[in-house]
Amino acid sequence: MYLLGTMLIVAAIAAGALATVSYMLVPRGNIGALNYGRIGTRAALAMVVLVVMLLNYLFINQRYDIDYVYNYSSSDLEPYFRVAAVWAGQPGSFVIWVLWGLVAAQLLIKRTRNNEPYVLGVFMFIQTALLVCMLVRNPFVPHLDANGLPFTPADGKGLNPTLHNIWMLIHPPILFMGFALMAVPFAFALAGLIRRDYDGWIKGAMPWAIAAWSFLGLALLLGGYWAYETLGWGGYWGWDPVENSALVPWLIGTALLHALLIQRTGSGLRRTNFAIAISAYIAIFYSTFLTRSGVLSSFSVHSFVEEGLKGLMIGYLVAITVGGLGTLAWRWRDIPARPLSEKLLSRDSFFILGIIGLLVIAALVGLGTSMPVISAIPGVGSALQGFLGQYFALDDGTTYASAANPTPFADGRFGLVGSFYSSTVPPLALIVVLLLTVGPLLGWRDTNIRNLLRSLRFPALAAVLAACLGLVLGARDALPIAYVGLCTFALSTNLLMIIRTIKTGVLRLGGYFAHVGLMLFLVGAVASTFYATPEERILVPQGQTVRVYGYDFGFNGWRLMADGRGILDLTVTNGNNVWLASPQLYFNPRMGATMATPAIKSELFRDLYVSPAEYQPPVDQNITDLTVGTTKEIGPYTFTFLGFEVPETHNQGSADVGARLLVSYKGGESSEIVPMITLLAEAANPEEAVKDNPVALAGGHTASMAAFDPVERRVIIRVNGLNLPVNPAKAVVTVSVKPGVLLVWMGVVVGVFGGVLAVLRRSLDGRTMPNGHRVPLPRRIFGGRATR
Amino acid sequence: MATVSGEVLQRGVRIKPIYLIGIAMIVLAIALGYNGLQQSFRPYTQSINEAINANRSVQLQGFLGSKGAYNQAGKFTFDLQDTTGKMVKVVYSQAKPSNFEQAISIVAIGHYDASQQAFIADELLVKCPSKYQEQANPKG
Repeated sequence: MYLLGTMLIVAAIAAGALATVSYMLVPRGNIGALNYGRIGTRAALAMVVLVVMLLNYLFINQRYDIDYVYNYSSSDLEPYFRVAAVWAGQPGSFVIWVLWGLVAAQLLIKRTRNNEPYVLGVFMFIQTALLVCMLVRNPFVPHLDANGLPFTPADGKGLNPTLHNIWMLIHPPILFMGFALMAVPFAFALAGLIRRDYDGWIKGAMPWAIAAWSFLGLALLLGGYWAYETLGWGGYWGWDPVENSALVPWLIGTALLHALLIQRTGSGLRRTNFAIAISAYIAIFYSTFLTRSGVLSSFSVHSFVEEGLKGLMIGYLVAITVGGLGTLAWRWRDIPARPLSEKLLSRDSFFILGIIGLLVIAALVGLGTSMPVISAIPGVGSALQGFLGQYFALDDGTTYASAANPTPFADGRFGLVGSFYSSTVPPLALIVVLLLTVGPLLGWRDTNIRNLLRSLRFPALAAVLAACLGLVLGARDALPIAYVGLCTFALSTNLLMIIRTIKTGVLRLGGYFAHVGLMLFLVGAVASTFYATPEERILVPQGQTVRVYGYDFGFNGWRLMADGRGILDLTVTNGNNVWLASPQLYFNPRMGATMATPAIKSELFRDLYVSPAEYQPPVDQNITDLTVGTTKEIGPYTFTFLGFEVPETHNQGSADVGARLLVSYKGGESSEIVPMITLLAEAANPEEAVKDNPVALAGGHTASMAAFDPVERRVIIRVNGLNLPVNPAKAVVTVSVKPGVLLVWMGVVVGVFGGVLAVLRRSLDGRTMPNGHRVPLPRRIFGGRATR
Repeated sequence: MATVSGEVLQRGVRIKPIYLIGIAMIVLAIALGYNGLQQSFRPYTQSINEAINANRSVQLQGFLGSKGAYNQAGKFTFDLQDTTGKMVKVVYSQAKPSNFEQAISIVAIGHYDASQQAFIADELLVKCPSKYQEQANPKG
């Protein structure tokens, strides 16, 4: 299978290379090469589909002789997870990335017309490069034993339990769809530069850019939801390098959409658009480099370790950066500038400010995420530490220079904690929100201020009301209140535009829906960031209730499922509302770790988040567990276990085992006792097989040996007659209330819905009829403002 | 509705309000970023002495010096050893990380607490020789 799979990959690379070279020959007058380009593109897809089918075959048939199958599946894995396991590891994620890229390539053949050789030449070059990554991280490598010989284990290591849930089926394919599609605007931009077609590429690139942006946004949401709902990380966003590195291309993509729109409506930004389209794809590759080359493995909880791709990834990154920006530099002076509106109160100006805002945020997040890489450059880390050294804040609030030992750290590398992002991004994002409160009402070139002010009445009123509501609900900090007010303002403005525009067709509403979604998201994000309660750890004994954050928690018991998962059965009461919470807790022997799945009760404005921490079984106070030499108490008695005693009795068919104990009553004098049990070999029934020989104690009770373990040298001693209560089982859970989380999910869903509308519209927009006429889309766009 | 037909933009001659606002945004971003760097800097070190003297949160990389165990307070503890052979006790408030026993190297993120004479870890990154090291993120 190794041979067959490798041959398929090599064939795919050959087909990709054929397509790239053929397409490159077409502009040189070799028209016939076009067919070879198409054949190569189709053949590459066919090969990759075969690779996927072969991988599926190997996973479903449990071929553990293949290392990848061995590492990511096992016999007890459900069939559909065996399919999903294809993309569980690094080799497979390249497979799915290339698969989507090649599917997009087939559509591009139909949609690009005379741009085809240029766009597909660039695009297939990228796909071929990714196919080479697939060969380097070959998923068909056989499993080898310690001596380097092929070896077929009986069972696989199994899918990582954090991946073993529904989101694993959905999240990676969507993320890689976003990654794959972001290459299309890049290819269009390069084609435009090469052909000196500085405006036409926009039309073709736009639907793809919006689609890539939507998929990336959806993937970010699903990743966050996965972490929040299943993995029990307590939040949906942690500013982890892996998360950030997908956020940066999304932010640049957002800027790209707006810049494309300016140029599409007749204004300038020609050079800017090339630069942003190229940067967006550089960001995708840079993100891949950060998470897959191992450079962040000491800084991120979930990045891949170095696996031999570092050199290749750096090479590709340099190639894409130099190729993209170099082509732009080559044409720079040839691109004629076109004027933008002079007026500040115009969409042109507001778009540009918004684009600056988005790019600045992307730059900060990208810089912060890159800090471990930047500081790893020899000399740079130490220099930066030295330069900033005296200002570094210490944990106690003083600065580093005033500390006892202010020498820079020998290893120059450093990372940034999440507070870097949470202190820099929100103020800047607020500026973007501010732009959105007015921006959608503006004309592209100019605006009648009187009309504008009249339109702003209701949104402004809504903003004031929302800010007041925030104050009433207890918000006191300036930033959250500003966010609630301005987001409501912007949300109302965009709703107003939706109402005004809806008669001209739903397809025109994409942008406004995206804005509404963003505002919902931001309100939710601010609420859940600033006003989530701390995680309260509570201990609930069975049969009692514990009150926290206005909810009464009762513990009903511990249920063990057939698959080994344990469920803490909790009843949560809040007034008349009763909710059964079933957080799961289970030990995964493969990972040697306890996995916890939280229980979440979502209300409109807040989530109750119940994370399981521990189950404490009931404790019978009449017994105690002793190893040799230990001392423990039962009621008034103190026992010390000295060792086992096996008397040399030779009764036929029976054996005695005793425990030598030192016992004292109420702290009095110690005496030695030996409670025994007699094992009878020929007992009539099992109950009589073990005979208890209790010993009388000073307080009038008796002590017996309840059980023993000769291997661990352990006994369990019971005192009879004390009748101490049995301590009930306890559930330990952490509880927190997180406001606004539902708004976060709703916001992303609404935003992605807007993205879908925009894709449909722009894709109709870019289509021409067979006879050369445009598809009749109305010429006036965005609610009757003048366009060119 | 004004149009710009026939109007020629004179580049860089007049300072338009949009330029000022744009530059102000960039300056603000630089200021915020600089401030953020000071607050959020977390150095990486492979020396236990440095971590002890740092008086701040660090990322301490080292090797397992002992098997991990839960102490009386229910915290997971183990000894971390650096390349000089020095050991420090690490106390981790979360559950034992997955693949802990197979770790070839461990990065403990946290600070040294002189009163407990231990390194209090908020997060642990366990690096295993296995294919890739994904583990539950303690903080999210």
